[in-house]
Amino acid sequence: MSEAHPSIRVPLGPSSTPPAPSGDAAAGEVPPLARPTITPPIDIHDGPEGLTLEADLPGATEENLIIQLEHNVLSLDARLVAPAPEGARPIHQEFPLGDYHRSFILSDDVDRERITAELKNGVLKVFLPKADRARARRIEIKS
Amino acid sequence: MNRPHEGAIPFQALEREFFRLIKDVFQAPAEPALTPADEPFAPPVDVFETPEGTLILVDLPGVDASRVEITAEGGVLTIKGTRPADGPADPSRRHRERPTGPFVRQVPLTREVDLDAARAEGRDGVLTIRLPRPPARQPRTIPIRTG
Repeated sequence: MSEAHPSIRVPLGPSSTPPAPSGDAAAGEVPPLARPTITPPIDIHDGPEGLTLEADLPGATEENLIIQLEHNVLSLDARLVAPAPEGARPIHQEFPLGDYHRSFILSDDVDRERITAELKNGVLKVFLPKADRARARRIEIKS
Repeated sequence: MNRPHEGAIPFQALEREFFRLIKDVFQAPAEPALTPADEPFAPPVDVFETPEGTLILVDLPGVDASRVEITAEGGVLTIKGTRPADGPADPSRRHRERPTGPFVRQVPLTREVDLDAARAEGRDGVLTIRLPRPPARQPRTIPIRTG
């Protein structure tokens, strides 16, 4: 990855302020290999204003979820914390303690500066607005 | 007090769990969400034993915990409800992986628990069910009436 394109962290919340570019430590964090990577299920739907991406991330919180935009790749990463208290003995485990990861390639039609994200009840919604040039396709014809 | 006891094993429930597990093992994990609309999906469940009791965690993102029905009968805990579809109607959907619609899971209770003291709460899309151990049985003195 070139240093010329620092990754952008998308702030969580309904605010539409453009994300501040930051090339800090969080950008290059790699989870240890011992933890399994969980691919969360997602829905993507198209609307007149842009795309909405929804991901099921049970157990993820605003503190442990990182959404990054690097070049044209949007990635979601969340490091889960142990849900059971110390000393709890697992009897049956279907949901391993791991790290969520999923990435997407964005088209040039997405306005990267206006991407917003919201996390509620384990569901992440990322709104990817269409860039103006992708929205306005009508060309005036002068006579 | 509702207490699971031997001899009341609901075979139907266990059989369903068994076939679900078989299905999970042999089905390709690529499309876990695409179950037929009528068939309830099975959210993942973790069960832990703690010094205080049994702890059950159910992954239910996007589900209001207060609308989940939790019942216990014959030593089996049943967790069921419906996950509403939260996106726009189908025509605008492009890609869908997340399960919606009815869901049900059944968890056999292997240890004795005090169902009257059971508590459940939802947080970050995870439903936590706490089933405490029954209070230690107090030695009981039986009064003898004379007269």
